[in-house]
Amino acid sequence: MKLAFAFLLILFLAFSGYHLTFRRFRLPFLARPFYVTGSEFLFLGLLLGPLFLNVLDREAQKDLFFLHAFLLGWIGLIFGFQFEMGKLRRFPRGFVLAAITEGAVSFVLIYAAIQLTALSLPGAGHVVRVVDALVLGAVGACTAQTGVALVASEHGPKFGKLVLFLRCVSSIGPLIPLVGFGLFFSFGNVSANSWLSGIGNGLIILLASCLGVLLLIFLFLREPRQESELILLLLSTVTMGGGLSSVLGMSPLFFTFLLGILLVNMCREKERFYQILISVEKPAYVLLLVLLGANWRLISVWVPMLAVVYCVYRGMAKVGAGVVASRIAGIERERLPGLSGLGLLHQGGLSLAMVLDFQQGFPGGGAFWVVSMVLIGVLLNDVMGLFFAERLLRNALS
Amino acid sequence: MNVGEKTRKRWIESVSFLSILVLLALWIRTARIESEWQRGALGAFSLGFLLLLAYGTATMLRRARIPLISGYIFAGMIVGPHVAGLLTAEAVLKLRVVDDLALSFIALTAGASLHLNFLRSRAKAIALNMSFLSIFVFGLVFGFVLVGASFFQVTRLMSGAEVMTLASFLGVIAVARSPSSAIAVISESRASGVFTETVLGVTVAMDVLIIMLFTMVLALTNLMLVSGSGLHAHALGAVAGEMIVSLALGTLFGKGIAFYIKKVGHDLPLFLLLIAFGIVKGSFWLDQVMQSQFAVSLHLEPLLVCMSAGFTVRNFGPEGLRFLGSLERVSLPIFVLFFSLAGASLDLEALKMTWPIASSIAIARCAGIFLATWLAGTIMRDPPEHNRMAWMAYLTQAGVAIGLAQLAERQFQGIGTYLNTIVLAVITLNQLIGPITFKAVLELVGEAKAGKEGP
Repeated sequence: MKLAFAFLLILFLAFSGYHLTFRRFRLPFLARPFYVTGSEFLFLGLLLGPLFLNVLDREAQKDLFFLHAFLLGWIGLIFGFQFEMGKLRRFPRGFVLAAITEGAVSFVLIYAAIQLTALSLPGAGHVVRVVDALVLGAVGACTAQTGVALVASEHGPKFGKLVLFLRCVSSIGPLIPLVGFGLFFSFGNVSANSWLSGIGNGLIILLASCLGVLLLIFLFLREPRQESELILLLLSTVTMGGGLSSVLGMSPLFFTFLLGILLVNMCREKERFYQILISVEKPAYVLLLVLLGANWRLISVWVPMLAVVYCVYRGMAKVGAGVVASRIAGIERERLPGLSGLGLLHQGGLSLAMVLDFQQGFPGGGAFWVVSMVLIGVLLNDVMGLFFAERLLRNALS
Repeated sequence: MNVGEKTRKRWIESVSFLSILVLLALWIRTARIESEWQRGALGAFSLGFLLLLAYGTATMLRRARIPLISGYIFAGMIVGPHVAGLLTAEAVLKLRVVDDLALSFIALTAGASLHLNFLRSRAKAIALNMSFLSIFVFGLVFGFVLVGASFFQVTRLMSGAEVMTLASFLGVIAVARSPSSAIAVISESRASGVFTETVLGVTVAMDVLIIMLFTMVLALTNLMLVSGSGLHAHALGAVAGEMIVSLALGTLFGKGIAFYIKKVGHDLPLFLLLIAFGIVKGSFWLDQVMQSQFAVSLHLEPLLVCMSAGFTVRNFGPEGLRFLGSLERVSLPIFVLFFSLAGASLDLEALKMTWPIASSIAIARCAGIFLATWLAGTIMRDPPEHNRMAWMAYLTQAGVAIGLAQLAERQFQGIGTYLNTIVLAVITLNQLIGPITFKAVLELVGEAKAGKEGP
């Protein structure tokens, strides 16, 4: 009964919630960023979780694992659908390269900063696992599209190139961090004697399972299909793919991301698929926030402080990566290109999905620290991201 | 490419599709499950796997003129724990959480399929057919089980009250038809005419009547078997009261849905999903609250609530067609899962034991249908050849019947398993034969247009 109630409640929240959020109401400055990115659902999740109302207790969450697999699969597939070659060509080639570089550089910088800090602090080297630092790096390197889209919609027409650049980075930038995340997730969970055979086994399993699901989809689409049949196909392949990858020790997010890239570039029904995917995007995101919020543990007073440090590292890495990326993109002549990284501080969306994925695949003491730090980081970055992005564009105009 | 080659190609594609699915399932079975996360993920895999496999099998079998629902049941049976074991009993049990949701959807669809204007135009014929079908089919099956109980291995050791309960449920469930199968066959045959419309009206309205009859039988047998107190006037009054409250509540929900469609309109499938699930869970919750807080039993019937809601939206406002469209949009995955799980839950050992009684019941039901339709047609002065063949149109059975059997199974742990197995066996027979005979009779009475015109 409790599971049914929890399921009904979060279904209701997802359904009603997304209509009430992601809108631009006239709100105080500090409240606005939360509201437009849906971050308030993190708090709602926290309220429903074991710390307060205990509606989404550990048992209920365990029984809702299938929902996790489905959500991660759905979000991964949507992200994969952004990599349609035809649409990517609309961005200048330099921008695409710059966006990929920005993601990679931020990833490396954040990871290195966290790993070095952990090694330099006495005792911390044992507590912070390599995988924790890698996840913090990958998650930190992602830029949420919501924030950039919000700023772009307000200032877009005045700053053609700079805003296009920011949009390009927020769409394509997470590629390398997600690939990195997906690969070490697989290699960390696939049993092998050495890391090299781990990579081999992981790759074989990943490719074979992806190929299997892809073949299924293509065989299904050999006949013309109605919309209800496509819904059935998407629901079942995403759920099955998410489950399959998780059971085989891979990241469901990465698995369906790969599937999405292949589908969007090879499948003739991609437009109809995309319409179905996008129709559930916002409820899925709200559900993700609620589930993550329920997993939030305020385990130590150190967490907020570490989260601030993490945000500082992330901000510095973003600015550094922004400098490199703007040079590659060739927008040096635009005003303030070196600080373009300040427009990329928004975090959320994909990075939150990565955190949920990580929590499932690598449970343990470190996972709660990582999740808590990232969640606080996301909230801080929501405020800072909007503030810095608006200042960046205002200064560029003046 | 000629037709033969095309057909062969389609078969090869279907077989390849199913083979890949089975290979993936076999692969998963070799994986080491070490964490709770992976155990949960296995459930997700099973869910997606079952949906794809059941739909793939059903669409493949459709080419051999076997209806989709039979395909879902068959697929579930094959991959289930009793045959191939690709789905474990634990996975099936976990996935059956969707049963309530599917049942509410079936009831919403059944209510929404009832069109008041059409019912009025053929009211007398429909009412006669419904009355005779209820009386003769129920009577013959009930009587047969009661009389023949001592001859069958399954029923031999049951007590008098248990046999009575089993006979009542089998009788009432035998009355149920399958509107979805009927509609599918009619649209496939592009049939139209008085015969077709009467059959459709009876089939759809019967699904509504069956929910009411079932609710009544459930309450009565509950009194007989559980409380052992026999039948009292106030108990019958309580049952009638619960049904009226359920219908009234359904009307309110229907008005609410119509209001939502009119004022908000977006995400209708998701909204209906929420409403359906909410009605089922809300009914149970309300009953519990009333019992614990006020010591009053208020057993609302979720199926009746949903059916009444569907009927209200369809007939008392302009939102009916949009409502039906939204139901259809999300119903496919729910139905596939529901029917394939029903197949996977089929206990073949029990089936082996129950097939003699199941086939006998199918024959008794068939005889009841023949008597009812012949008598109704004769009174209505329909063409004699229609009257002689009308029984062929009413054999299909699924959906609500399976749901009702499962509800009864939950209610009566002891005989419930046998009841469910017998019902599924009878339905499997009827679903294999019914659509074929229905299609044939539409052609025989000259109302099927498919095939008459050029290619």
